Amino acid sequence: MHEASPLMTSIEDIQRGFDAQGYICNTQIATAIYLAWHLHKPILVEGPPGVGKTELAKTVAHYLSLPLIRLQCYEGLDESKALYEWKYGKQLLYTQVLKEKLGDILNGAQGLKESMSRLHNFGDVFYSPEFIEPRPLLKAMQEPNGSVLLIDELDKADYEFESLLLEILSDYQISVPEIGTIVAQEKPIVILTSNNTREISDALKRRCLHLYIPFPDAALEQRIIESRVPELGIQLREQLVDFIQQIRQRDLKKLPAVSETIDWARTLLLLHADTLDRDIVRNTLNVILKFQDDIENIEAELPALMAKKRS
Amino acid sequence: MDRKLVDFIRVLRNADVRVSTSESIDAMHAAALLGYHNRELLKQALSSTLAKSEAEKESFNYCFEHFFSADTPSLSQDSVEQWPAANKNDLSASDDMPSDTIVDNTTSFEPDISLQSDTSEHGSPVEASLANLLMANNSNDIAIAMAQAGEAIKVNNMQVFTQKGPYSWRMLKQMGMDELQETIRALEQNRDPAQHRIAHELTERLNWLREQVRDFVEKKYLLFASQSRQKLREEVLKKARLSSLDRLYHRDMQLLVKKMAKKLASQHARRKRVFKKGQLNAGKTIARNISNDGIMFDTHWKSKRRDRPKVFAICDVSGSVALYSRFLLMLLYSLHEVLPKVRAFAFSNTLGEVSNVFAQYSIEKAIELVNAQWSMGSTDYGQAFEDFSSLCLDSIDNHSTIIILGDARNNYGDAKAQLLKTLYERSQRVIWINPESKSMWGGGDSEMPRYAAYCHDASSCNTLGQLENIVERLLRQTS
Repeated sequence: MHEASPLMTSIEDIQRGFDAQGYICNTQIATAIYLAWHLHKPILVEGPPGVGKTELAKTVAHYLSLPLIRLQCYEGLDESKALYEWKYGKQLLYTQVLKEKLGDILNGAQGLKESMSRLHNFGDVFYSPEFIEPRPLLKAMQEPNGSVLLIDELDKADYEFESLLLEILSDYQISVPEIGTIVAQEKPIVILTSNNTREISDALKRRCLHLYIPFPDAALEQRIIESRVPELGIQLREQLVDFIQQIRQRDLKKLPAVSETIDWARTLLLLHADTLDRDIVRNTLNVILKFQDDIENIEAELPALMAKKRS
Repeated sequence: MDRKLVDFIRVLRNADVRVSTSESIDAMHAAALLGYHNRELLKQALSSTLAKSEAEKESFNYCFEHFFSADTPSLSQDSVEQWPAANKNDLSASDDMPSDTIVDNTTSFEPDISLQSDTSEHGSPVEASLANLLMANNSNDIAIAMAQAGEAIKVNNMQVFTQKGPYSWRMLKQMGMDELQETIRALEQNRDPAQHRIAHELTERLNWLREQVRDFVEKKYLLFASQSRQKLREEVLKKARLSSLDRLYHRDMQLLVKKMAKKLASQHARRKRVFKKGQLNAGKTIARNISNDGIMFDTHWKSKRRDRPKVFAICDVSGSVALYSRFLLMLLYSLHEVLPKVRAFAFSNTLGEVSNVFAQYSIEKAIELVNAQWSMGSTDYGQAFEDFSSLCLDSIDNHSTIIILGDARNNYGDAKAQLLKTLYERSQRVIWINPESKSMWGGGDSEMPRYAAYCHDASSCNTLGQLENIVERLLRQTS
């Protein structure tokens, strides 16, 4: 049963389980997941890019051994890509194949009226569940054991698309006019992510729990690096996290996120660096900074940044 | 506890966190699930159910800290410490009394606990007279008594600041101040010096209690009554002249302006059209070809064409409109946020595109940068139109809207209204928003009458209310 899953009995369990998956999270994240599971509420995860929003969904799916169904949002995404589509090809093929059958059915019918009423008896055979092509949202509803539905980067989709989600998010059901309402067999865990490039509508926010994941603090980031790049020496790890934390205080076009820190740690590992000196930093700045302007800015400040670290 | 939560939600609403009924229910479910024993957990649970944006989280944190400022465990029995009533040294120390007790009992003196269940466990403070209570010096009991008195006189209903005095007084009365004063008077009439001392001390402590009650009421006022202030402020903002607005209110203004810009933008709806290419609209094709014996003969294509609103916004940032330009730029910036394809231009004598600046920086920074780069020099509308024409006359077609924000004061230079006429003829719409009132148009170096001839809509706008009217009128015209 959904409720009774032993994996979701306490917040500490969740945190520990995620730890084991290599996803280090604070209680806030674990609490949100716990609430989402027990209250059957979708979670809207916001935060700067690269702090592990998408990763969270993957971890949840892995932790609960549920299939992860992902819907990547983009401008122009519509219901035929997100909800369902009719299998037109199949419908056409069937009409052609069944054409002869029609003759048999209508054989012996008296007049147009009777033929019609005989046809009516067959109902809307061509608009039945067999002809539906499920897209991610419908697929998530149809998973017999539940699933984790990730609606990624919702802010990229059009405003109208949000309204499309409302029915799914509040009632876990989809209305298909030709068939009726399809209700989720087992309510999926829905995780929506947004990079905050635009405000998500109130109607949608109201239906979701809200989780804001900021950049991690030094201690948490250390743990993340420890878990993700365990080969890295303690000293270097401390230096690295320290440096990144300092850079985040600067006025940059794009601040380095956790994913960049991890990349950087791997880079340093590959270069067999054992301490963070100025040359290495200069040569690998492009791993953490993605704009030439930013790189130049930080390069100019490198002596100051490195000096502060040593003290 | 649910009632406490409802109170808290009211506080949140006052602090501009929008909480719907369904969210309140979620919060209650969440709280019930996690229990009230772990404060941090409760905070996180409520935060994820009630506060749904970064700004709201900030308000939430503030409110939470103030509302649930005392932990219930601090009311445990062991903190009851009798204070020797006849301690002489304490006459002078009575002012520091609360801080002392905080250190001693590691409990904070917080009057916010109004849990009936907790007080009933204690029992005594309810019956105890105020004098005993004060002499006992148990800050918890006093806090409870204060909270109960507050509840009894419904201090949460306070609406305006003038009520603070009466409420404090009523609270003290509720707590038994009259009796206490009676006691003090009786003690003073007594000849025994020891009794006098007690009377003196009681007076001291009563004064201390007055302060506490005042703080308590003040706090309640801040939590519960600020809503009316907020509403009042919004009303005032709408009517105030844009030039005289305090910097302080710019954040609120931003929100209002954004709302309006969104309204303006939303009229550009998506339109579906029949196309000769695109995706095969299979459903419709089948339906159409039933009459052709099911042979796909008359194909039907679908393609969505988003009516990309082409908005060109030109903003005067010169000295003559310095007071308004901040606001105009704000409108421009907000337009940019809701309509990513808007092209923004700023000028004083030469004109340049500023779309990039808006796209890259925050509103404060962007406005600062635009001002720094373009506001030097005296206004020259003629030159500006010339620059604008050479920059993007080609991209203006009958789907474009041109919005001009400026006072049309041209320093007696060449107006070059002809250029505006060309724009007027080519575009779908030219809107001029002028911060000066209509009676000023044409006076002095104002070229507004000449320009207005080539605008589909020229309006005066110097309050947000007027701007709202303009936006609404525009919407009516197009629909």
